[in-house]
Amino acid sequence: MRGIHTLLRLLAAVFVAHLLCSTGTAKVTAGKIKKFLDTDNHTNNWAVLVCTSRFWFNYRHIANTLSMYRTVKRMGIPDSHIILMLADDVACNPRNCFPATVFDHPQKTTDLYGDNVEVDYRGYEVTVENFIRLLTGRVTTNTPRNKRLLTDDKSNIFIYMTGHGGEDFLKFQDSEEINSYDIADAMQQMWEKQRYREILFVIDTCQANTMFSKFYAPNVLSIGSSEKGENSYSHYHDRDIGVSVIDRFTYYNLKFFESVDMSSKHTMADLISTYNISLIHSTPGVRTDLFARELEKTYLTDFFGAVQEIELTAEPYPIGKNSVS
Amino acid sequence: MSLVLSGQGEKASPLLRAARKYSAYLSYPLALCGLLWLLALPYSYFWRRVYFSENAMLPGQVQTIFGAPSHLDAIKQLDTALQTADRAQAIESVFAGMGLDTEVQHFSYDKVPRVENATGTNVHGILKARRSDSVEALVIAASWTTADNDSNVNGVRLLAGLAKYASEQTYWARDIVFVVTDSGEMGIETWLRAYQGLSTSAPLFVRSGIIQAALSIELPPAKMYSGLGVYFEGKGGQLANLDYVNMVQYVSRLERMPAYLHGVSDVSRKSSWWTKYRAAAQMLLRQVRTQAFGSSAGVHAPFLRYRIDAITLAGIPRANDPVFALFKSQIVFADTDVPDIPSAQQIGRTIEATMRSLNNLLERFHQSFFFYMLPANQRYLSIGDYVPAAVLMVASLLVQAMHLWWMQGPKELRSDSPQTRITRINAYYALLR
Repeated sequence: MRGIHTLLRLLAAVFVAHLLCSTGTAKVTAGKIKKFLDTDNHTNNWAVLVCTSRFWFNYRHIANTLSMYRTVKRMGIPDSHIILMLADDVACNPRNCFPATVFDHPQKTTDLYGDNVEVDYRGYEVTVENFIRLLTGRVTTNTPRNKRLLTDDKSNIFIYMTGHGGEDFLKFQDSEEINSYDIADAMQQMWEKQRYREILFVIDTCQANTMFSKFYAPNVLSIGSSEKGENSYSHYHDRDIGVSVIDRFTYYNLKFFESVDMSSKHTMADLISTYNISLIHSTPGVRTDLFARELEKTYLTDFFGAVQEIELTAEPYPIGKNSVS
Repeated sequence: MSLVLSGQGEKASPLLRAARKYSAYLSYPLALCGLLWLLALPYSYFWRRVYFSENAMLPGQVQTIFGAPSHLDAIKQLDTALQTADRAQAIESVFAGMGLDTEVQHFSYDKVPRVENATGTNVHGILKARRSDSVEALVIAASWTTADNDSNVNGVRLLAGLAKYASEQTYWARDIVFVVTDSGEMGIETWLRAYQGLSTSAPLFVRSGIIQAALSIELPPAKMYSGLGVYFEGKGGQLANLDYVNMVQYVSRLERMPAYLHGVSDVSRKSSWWTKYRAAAQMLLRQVRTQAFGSSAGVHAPFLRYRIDAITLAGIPRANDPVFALFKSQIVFADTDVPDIPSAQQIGRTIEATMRSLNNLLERFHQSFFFYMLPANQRYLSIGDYVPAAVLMVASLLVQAMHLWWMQGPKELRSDSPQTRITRINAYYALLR
């Protein structure tokens, strides 16, 4: 949104000079701009990344979430549009032989924690209540800005959840659970409040597909890592750190994303077609009945990146009382 | 009681009258069932396979590194110190040299109550965790003598090496306390009492946090060790949590020096059912004996009194290995001053892996069983499997007691005089028949 406003402001400055002589082409430009501003596409991207586990032996869930965080950041979503919920007790855990780092591969090539990580909900703030309040926007008045999901009706939201789960529930921090009906109702609230345009819901837990089985709000695309009755498995085990560092489903997603950047035209169908049950060791599921568009026409950057649509015009266009929008 | 009383008198139902008549005979089958149940326990059909209940342990998932030159140098340092100074001073100087907080505790105790007094010395060194608060602690203990009154100098030397290894690492989430005692279980008991603040005669000033788990090392003098033994019983039926025992057995197998329960390896799978039954029965009886008689159970036993899970790892000298006994004459038995600890790396790495798993824990052991019997390695019987035998036997006694109460007859027949009572009871029974 901000990008378009800046651009239009620049154009307005040029418009003043050309106002008298270009009334004819101005109409064409006006038409173009009207079409541009009335578009049905999303205009901004948000990401909500939730790790519902704490403790040292759940290192891999923190690594899953941080890997996704790095991916969406790399693809262009800024920290101000990412809500990261982590227990965050792993990087500085006394048991960590590599303090202040989190790795997702035994080769330890990328430090996911690094210098540039902004955790919004950390430690005991990652609760079911906070998560639902975040989604529905019913936060208390003194909630800081970085803990609010400031989406509008043209936002695409990528929600990623990982942790320990079961049939129709997900364990939050060893003390409470959220069930699939809660999330379904929260999403319906979001739809009624026009808080999203489309949601991509990805979940990597045991029996993950049950979590989105109860959704009923429109424009929600869901991907889960395992069917009911199946476990999701961890992938790499690091013998220096002494824990498993990544889960299989997330790992194979990240592997696909290594070939994707901001300019890529890969679609969701491409991503889903790379899922290989014999590698993931569980059956990933996709739920498309609530999603209006076709997967072949849905770009990955619609959810994972923050790609701005920019249209350059030759003529200036006045904004303000005389403008079309 | 109303059931018992209502059976008396003429209005009793046929069922109750039959119960009254035949209840004495019920107690014998019950006792027999209890006995048969006990006899069935060594039969492998009823055993369950062990499994890990505590997810936080992550046993054997980290690379072990014990055996580096600096660790073995600490052992040499201790050897040199032992030649010149007194034992307690030697240990204290070695611990202090590694940077541990040390203290020597002198105490006296009744070796034979009211007859023989003895004195003892404990030395301990605390390795403070660098990146954690000292709220919790682990204890690694060794006595100068083993439970069989052999010299445990190899155990103490390995302890020194482990202390050096631990002092070099930065990933401890809790303090580690290394204790050496010269009075076996009594010494550790005194040390623990002082640690908990319960002793005024021999107090400890250098202390750490609450103890989460303890491990005791026993290495009798030997040229080589062929395996390890795990001892997990305390006194009065207290046991270490089954997760702890399973974890130690698992990590020892990874280091190719398996720890067997009480040092007894499994019988071959091809042996007859009677051999397996007898081996299991012997294993169960061994545990029953240790728990029932409260006899000497190992240096770990005093910890269990304070609900601290503790086990003893004892090395099995190779010469005792029956297979190796054939070559006994060809082995030169080492005396107590061995230059190297045989299999130090394997045993040390087993203990290192145990320490890493204990380090990973967040709470004390609480997930797995506290009451169990282990008929064989990797198999367990939970309390629900063996207690019904005892319950059946007690039930048979209860039935007998109930029967005797019924025999008293109705209230009207009772009187203070035993003679009158007997006459009346006999008359009452004559009525019944």
